Amino acid sequence: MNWNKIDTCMRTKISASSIAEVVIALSIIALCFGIASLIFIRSMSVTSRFQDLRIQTEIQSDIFQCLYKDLDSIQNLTYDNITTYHERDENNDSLYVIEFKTSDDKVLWKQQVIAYE
Amino acid sequence: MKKISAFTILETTIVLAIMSILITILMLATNRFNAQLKKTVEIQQELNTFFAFRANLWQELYTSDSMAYHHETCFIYQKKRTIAYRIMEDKLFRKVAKEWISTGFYMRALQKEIKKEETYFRFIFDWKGESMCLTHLYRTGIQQKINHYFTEYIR
Repeated sequence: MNWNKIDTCMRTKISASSIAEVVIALSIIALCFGIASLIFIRSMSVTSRFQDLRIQTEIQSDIFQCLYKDLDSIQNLTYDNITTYHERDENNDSLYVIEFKTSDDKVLWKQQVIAYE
Repeated sequence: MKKISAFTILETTIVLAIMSILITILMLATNRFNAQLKKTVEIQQELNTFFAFRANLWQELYTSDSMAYHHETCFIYQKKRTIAYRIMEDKLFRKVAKEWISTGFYMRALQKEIKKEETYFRFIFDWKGESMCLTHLYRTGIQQKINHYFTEYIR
C-alpha cells in the first residue's frame, strides 16, 4: 500500500463554501434554534398554569364574596406570592381596575369595580 | 466572492461522522419535542374546557334565584330551570333535564357550610392532586325570605 499516495489524497484540499454561503447557513441554523427554543419555553410554561388556575378560582370566589358583602373590602384581598395593583380605569373615572399578578408579572385576574370612594 | 480555506478529506470524514452523530441526537430531540408539543396541546385543551365549565358554573350561581343542598346534591334554582350537581364515582355530574351528565372533572366534595350566619356552597375539585375550592356565598333575596316565611310559619 502506498501510504504517501493515501496521505497526499487525504491532504488534498476540496473546494470550500463562500463566506456568503456560510453566513446564510449559520443564519438559518440560528433561526431554527431560536424558534425551537421559543416553542419549548412556551410549552414548559403551560404546566405552571394548572397552579395559576387554582389561585385564580380562589380569587374569583373571594371577589364574588366581596360583591355580596362589602365591595370596598375587595381592596384588602391579599394572597401569598401574588401582587395586587389598584388603579383608576383609563377610560372611566368611576371605575377602578384591580390586577392580581404573579411574581413573574403574569396577570392572573383583572377586575373592574365601581370606585370605592 | 472571497473563498475561505477548505478541509482535507480526513477532516471532512471526521466532520461528517460528527455531523451524523449530531443529526441522530437532533432527530431524537425532535421526537421528544413533538411528544412535548402534543402534551402541551392536550394541557391547553384541558385548561380551556375547565375555563368554559367554570365560567358557566359562575353564571349559573350568579343568576340563581335560590340554592339548596340535600341528598348529597346541590340544587341551583333558576327562573325557568333547576340545575343539579352531584358527585358520582369521584366525578362531578350535572343534571338539567332528566339525565345525569358527567362534567369530566374529579371532585373531592360538594358542601354547604353555614359560617357566622352566612351560607356558603363549596365545590372542592381534585385538581392535579391538590384541592381547588370554588366558594359561592349564597344570600337569600327578599322573595326567598317571604316564601320561606310563608312556608314555615303560615300554614
